[in-house]
Amino acid sequence: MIRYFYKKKLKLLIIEDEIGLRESMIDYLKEEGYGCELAQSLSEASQKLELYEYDCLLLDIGLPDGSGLSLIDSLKKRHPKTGLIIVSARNSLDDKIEGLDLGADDYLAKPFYLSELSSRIKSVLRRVKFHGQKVLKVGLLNITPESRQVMVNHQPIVLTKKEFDLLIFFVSNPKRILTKEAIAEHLWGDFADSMDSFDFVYSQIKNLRRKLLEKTGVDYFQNVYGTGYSFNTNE
Amino acid sequence: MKLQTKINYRFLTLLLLVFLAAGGILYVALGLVVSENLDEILARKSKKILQDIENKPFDINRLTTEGASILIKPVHIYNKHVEFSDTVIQYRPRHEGLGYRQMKFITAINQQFYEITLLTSRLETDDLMELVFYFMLCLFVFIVLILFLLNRWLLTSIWHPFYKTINRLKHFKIGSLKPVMFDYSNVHEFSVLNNSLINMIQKAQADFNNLKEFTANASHEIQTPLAVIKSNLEIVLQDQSLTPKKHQQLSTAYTSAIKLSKLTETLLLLSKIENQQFLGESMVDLSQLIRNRLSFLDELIEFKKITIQENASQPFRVKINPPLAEILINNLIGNAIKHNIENGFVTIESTAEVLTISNSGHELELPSEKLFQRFSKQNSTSDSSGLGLAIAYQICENANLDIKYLCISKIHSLMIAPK
Repeated sequence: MIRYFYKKKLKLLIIEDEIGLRESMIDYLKEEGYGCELAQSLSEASQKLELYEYDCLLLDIGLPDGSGLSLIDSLKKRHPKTGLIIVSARNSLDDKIEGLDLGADDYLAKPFYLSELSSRIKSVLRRVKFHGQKVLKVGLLNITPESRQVMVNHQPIVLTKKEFDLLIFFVSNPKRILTKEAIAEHLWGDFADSMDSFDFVYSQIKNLRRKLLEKTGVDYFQNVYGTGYSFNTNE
Repeated sequence: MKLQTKINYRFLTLLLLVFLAAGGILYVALGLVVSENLDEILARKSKKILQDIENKPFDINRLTTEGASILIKPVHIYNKHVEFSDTVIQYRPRHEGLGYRQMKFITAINQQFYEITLLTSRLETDDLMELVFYFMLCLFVFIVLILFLLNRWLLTSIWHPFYKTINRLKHFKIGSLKPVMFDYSNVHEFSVLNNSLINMIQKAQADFNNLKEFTANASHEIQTPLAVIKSNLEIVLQDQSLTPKKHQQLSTAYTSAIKLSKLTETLLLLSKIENQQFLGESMVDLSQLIRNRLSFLDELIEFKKITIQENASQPFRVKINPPLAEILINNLIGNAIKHNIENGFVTIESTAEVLTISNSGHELELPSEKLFQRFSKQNSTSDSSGLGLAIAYQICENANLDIKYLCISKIHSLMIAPK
């Protein structure tokens, strides 16, 4: 599925000590077409980084043998083209700020949605590997993430900011069921908890679906038993 | 009632009773002494009169005596009895009469019985009684004054450690990390009081901290398995071969896992705030922060058809931990939007002293004093955790801010002001 975006199989290094979480991450990401490798500790991660080059790193900050933050500096010097997403417990805002300052490309708070993780990885890869210049061809859609443009047959589709975010989120997780909780959090971050945003999610998807249907004549969205939605291009 | 007032009241009542009794006794005793004195004078005079009568033939009409009036009345029956009594003679009608002591006896003059009444004025003795009364009154006032001053002095000096202890207790917060100290007192009772309080507070603080730690630890320990449940369910839900029924069941489990995960997350945050684990404060313009948040939410606000009114005459700047300020504003704005009605409004008013966030909404079913308590929510089925305002309250508490809730005709207002 990932070749859909890129020619070669992309390699990820997952540095995470929690076994249950690690396995579900690998399961989800492998199905996306990534090659996943694993490190359970800081020392193991350093060893692997000496030997191989990865496209993207998922780095848990709270590791048994130290803070993942100590790895960032050497990684960015050695492999500047490797994307880096740091993962830490929610509410540890210091970690977030420090990690991003040190050169991490993105930050994800635990616990996260796997669909969100996948979307973040793709976004980081686009930025780090292709400097955001990549045009995503999805079905009849030509999406330029950097300029936030969507074209169909050389005609632009005008989307609101949230509709565009939503489209990117779906396109990053093709054929996956995105739960309404994951969508709400993707759009609103922590705000999703403090208000009932599901109604709004429905209406945004409805609008986006209508706009795409009008221009392309194809309905890409599928409602899945009230759990969420999936985006299918039938390719 | 203050201790001083209470003691003063008691003293005053007791003194009044004592003085009334003493005054009464004194009055009666003095009256008796004075009467006896006057009676003696009258008796002496009567002796002289009798002597005069015996010694020479005597014209009854010219009988006089010095210092006393005399009344003579012929009677038919002789009576040996001599009578002393008090009487009042009114000289002019509708005037106060004058008090007299009188002595009545019967004697024979020229073979005729006469009742002789000797009268002597009580005026001087009445003056004396009055003097005694005023003296007693002055004494009473004087003693009351002395007692009042003495009492005040006692309370400020001897009771001083007690008041100090009370003051410490008043400012004591069980969640505060500072240990409570009381000054040493050489008064046994006070030192016992202080020691008992210290023991009690230490016990309460230890229990409180244990409970807090338990909440934090439990939330933390629950977090990881929940994350595993959540992400695994997310994967299983992708399975296209699931029957709709199975999918629905898994979806319900997934939603509940998310709720639980958010709940523990929030509890963890709350305990972190309570434990003051967010360090570092700087001046933050909360009104500006609100503006940023609102612009982030404008699509949602538009969708809910809510009007935003802003009346920021001055920025509201406070010293607060910036991430906490963000959480605070998120919660307050989130609440104002979530608990709003269709075509409702949110009003932001800010001055240098107070920040007010008001929103239209439904009647509050919850007693307003419970609003800032944990797990207090409108109805048990609602999706909210009931922790949002508890967090807001705790953040304000940490930043030394006052947060108050007010509801006037379905308009809910939350006001934040420096303490």
